[in-house]
Amino acid sequence: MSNIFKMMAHIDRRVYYAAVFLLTALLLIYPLGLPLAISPEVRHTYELVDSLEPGDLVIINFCLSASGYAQLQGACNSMIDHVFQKEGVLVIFTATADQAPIMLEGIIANNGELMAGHSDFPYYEINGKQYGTDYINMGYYPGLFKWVASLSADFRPALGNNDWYGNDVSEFFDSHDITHARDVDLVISFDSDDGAGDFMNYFFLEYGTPVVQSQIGVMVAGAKVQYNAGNYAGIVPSIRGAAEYQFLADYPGYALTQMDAFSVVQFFLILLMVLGNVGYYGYTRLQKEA
Amino acid sequence: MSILRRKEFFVVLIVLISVFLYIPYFFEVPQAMTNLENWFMDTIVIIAAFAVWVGFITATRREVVRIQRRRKGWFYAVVILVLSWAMVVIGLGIGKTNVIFEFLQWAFVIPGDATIYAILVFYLTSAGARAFRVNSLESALLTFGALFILLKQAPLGEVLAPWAGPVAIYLQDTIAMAATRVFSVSLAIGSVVLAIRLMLGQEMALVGLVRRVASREEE
Amino acid sequence: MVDLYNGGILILGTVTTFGLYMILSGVDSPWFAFAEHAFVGTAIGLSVVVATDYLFRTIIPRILSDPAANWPTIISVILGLMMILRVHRDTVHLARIPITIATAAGIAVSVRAEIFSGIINQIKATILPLMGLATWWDFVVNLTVVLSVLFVFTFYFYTTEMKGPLQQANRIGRYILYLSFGVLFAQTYMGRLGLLLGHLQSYIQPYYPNGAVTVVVVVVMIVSTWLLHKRYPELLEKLTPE
Repeated sequence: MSNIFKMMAHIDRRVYYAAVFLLTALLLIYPLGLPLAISPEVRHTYELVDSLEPGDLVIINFCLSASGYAQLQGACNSMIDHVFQKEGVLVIFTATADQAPIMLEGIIANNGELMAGHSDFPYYEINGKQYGTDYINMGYYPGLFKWVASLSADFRPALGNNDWYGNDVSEFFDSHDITHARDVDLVISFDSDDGAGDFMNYFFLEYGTPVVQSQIGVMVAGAKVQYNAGNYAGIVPSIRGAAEYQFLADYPGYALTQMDAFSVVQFFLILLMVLGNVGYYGYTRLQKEA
Repeated sequence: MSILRRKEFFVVLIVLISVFLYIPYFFEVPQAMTNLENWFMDTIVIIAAFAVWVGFITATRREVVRIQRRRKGWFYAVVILVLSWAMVVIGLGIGKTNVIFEFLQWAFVIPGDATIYAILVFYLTSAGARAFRVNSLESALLTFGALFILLKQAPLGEVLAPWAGPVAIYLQDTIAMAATRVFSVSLAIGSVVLAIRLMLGQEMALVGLVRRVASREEE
Repeated sequence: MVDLYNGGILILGTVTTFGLYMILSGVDSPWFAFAEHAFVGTAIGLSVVVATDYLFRTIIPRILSDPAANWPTIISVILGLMMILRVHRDTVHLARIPITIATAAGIAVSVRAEIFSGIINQIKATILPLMGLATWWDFVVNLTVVLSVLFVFTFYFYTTEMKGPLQQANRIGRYILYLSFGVLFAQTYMGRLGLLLGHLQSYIQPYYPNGAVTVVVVVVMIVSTWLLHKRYPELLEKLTPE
């Protein structure tokens, strides 16, 4: 019996690694279809986006590195699709992480199709919204919070007149009379760094602009603090929030299918914690006392 | 140019910049001062963009030295140089939406960045199995805090252990939030203290004015 | 059929991903060294390109449109160029001016907003009502938040001797911190696991070609590393920098 406890206390860590990898792979290939409860924060965020009205201007900011993209891809796809379903809503895409523009292009290509007479970016039509008329992609701006502060203070000069592809989009701003930061009605930030925090500091605190954040798992605790303090209007936490939003938006996506692997691997961690304690009390502690 | 090596010059500069940025935020000021504030914010973005070149030149120099001295694994320095310069030449010379530039991004940057963060899952699993030993009150609190959250956030956990949900929500929305709130306040206070120390000239290492450390021979 | 572009991305992406994962085996592997250096090289290049592109896309056109009116931006660009002088020891003192401006301005811009979002708003959110609430549970929640914040704050007193009620509060604060660290661990685990799942899924599905290429590439990497260990240890020593 003590051999079993000894084994439990001294399992090679590579066994853990292999087990996590195998479980993950198997459940991604054969999902179980487990049920999913919707949290109040994600439901509130969904209703906030759903309440957008014609003429509202939304900044969708990508402060995502590749690591965050893998987690938030589901939220990006479903939330952007949801925004673009709203009649008459205008969108400006920005990025405050240098890896984000190419992922933003992936999202646009995934949700849209090429406009008639065009064969490449940026001319994609998403849910009937045309590039240059209803939305623009301004691309990456360096400096993180420094640029967001600059955007809040001096909106048009901070954005410039050229989009990510070098096209002059001043017509978009002039035709919709977009001149100042207070013209923005909603900011949605997909974050693996604190892009929404910057927009909260320089848009919400200055002009009362509601800020929604979809963040990676390690940022969830801090985001909840800001949400409960009223600084964020909505949050979509990590992959779980992404799956819930996909469910609410009726958007078929990978985040929902990943939930099964998500559940089982977390249970595996609980099992390991139990085994580790059983091994500790059954062997290691007895050895120390002896 | 000796003034550029004197600490007093930089302290005066720091104080002036801070004054021109704090006052417009808290008080109504003439437009000229607001314009100056906006100029500072534009300038730091531009400086940040140029600062990347400092890192690039330094990295290039380091890898060239590694190749010249044939240090162990010097051929990987060739990999770094070739790929980084290829990205820069193609990205700036031809265009950032060029097919080769995007190919290199999708082939190396995106998978590499995602993998580096995803690797932590394996280490966290190993840590969970080895470090969460219930042998004192503190470790018990640590373990049970993690246990309830794991049960709640897994959709399967909500089905098998529905009693864990309310406890987990309570822990997240009160205890964990309170601790995180204290971290936020501490961080903010620390930032304010750092700003004040910077204005008093106590943190000159941040602007590159460090005291020269004596070598062993001099000691 | 997979075209060359997407096929190349798939193969190299798989090599990069699973090359980096090879560190988990605890075994030296040239695949890990290659993946690590390839990632670092391309990431550096990407940062330089996007930062410089911002200058050419936004700043230079602004200056060229009206140089006389945009003279402050010209000064900003000159300061930026002075930053590059940092690379040589004879000119490093000139780079201190833009560094000072960027540091002082950056700290000022972030601190002036942090005072509100990080201190005042957080304290406002902590001052919760304890009377006149709808249910007894609201009272329990509010009381827990208020007391938890107070107790955890006492844990961060480093310049006062802990005795009497302060010592008790400090100990309770420590227990609250342990509980919250467990919660934060689980949330971090959720976050990283989501990352792993999202990333791995792209290498498994669709089964062809992604899954097939992944299996082939991983088998080749494992077999080659094993062969190097067993048959060519001197070559392995040369191929692994650390």
